[in-house]
Amino acid sequence: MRRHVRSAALLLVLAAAVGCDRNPLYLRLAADYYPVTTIGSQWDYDVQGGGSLIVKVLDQVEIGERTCYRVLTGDDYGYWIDDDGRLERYEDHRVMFNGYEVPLYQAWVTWLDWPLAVGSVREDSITAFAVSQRVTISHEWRRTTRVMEIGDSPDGRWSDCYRIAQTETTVNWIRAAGFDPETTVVTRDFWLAPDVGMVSSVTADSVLTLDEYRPGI
Amino acid sequence: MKYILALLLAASATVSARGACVTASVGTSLPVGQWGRNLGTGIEGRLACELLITPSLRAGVGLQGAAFGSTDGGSASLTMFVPEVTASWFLRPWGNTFNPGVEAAFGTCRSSLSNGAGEDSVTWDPAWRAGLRWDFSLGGGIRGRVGADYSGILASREQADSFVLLFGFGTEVTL
Repeated sequence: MRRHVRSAALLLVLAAAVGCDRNPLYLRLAADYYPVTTIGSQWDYDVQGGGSLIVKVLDQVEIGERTCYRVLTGDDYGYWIDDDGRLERYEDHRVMFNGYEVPLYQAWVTWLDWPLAVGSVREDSITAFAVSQRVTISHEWRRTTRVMEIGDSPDGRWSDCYRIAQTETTVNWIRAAGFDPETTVVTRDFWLAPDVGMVSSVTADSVLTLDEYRPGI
Repeated sequence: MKYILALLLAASATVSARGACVTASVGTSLPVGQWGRNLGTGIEGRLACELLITPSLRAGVGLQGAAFGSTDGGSASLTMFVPEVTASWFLRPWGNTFNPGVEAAFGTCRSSLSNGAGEDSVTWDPAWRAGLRWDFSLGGGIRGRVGADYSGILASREQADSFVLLFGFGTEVTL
């Protein structure tokens, strides 16, 4: 029996000897990677090529029968809920047809699943139809979100960031003579820093870099 | 840290012991602090073999495993595996129904986080636990044990604490 205990002890020492591969996993677990639930928080971004973008958590409102946080991004409002292990965004898809704005799809859709883990993939899709002026408009939307890696932000200012790659494909088709399906593909890479949120975003036509973050109270 | 661990192990393995106590325990683990913000209550299992240095004082080695899942019933899971050295002391080792004691352990925790098809880098960090025990006889040479532990993982840039409620049983073997 004592021999077995000694063997177990030896195994334990070996385990301790190889146990030197440390990384801040628990820091990442504890951190808020998209802190949109504190009213007053503000992110100031530099836009490559000139200009700036301000993102601010304004207040709490009720959208789609749920209480959420209203976030102003430039001139646009976005609505977010961070609850029960997931971050959800209110998707409000509309299309312009013959001078009228036609609502196609409005619902809460999960944006990120917490906790993030490198290699995880999330796919969301919608197929919707709307009738406007006796014409059917079909709408297909697909979003793929991949957690790519952990590392520093592109400007090197923030560490332990998750790099997320997102591809969003939208196909709108006005089912009438003379109209073809209209496909839009948007790809974006963004970096989320612990307890700060998005610190950089790269799309085909814009690069945002966080200049200043002022957490709300 | 490794040298202290090795010394503790050597000490526990070479003492003149009269016998050993093998225990198995299961329990629930409640994260304390922000690290558990997206995780639910965990389940925990332990296996330990302790030499009886005196009837009251025991020291040995153990293996501890724990798993936590997403709060929303999603696919995320955090698993922990801790090889450890343990020491315990009981007030009335002969007591059939009332044998309170204390137990402490120190080891190295392997933590692994996965979500969906993704997995974060594994981390190895020092881990400790300490708690109270109530040991009692179940008859037939088997002893039951209930207890509560406070445990911590001294992880890089963040400490991960948890509170654990345990139930286990054990038996003594002669060396």
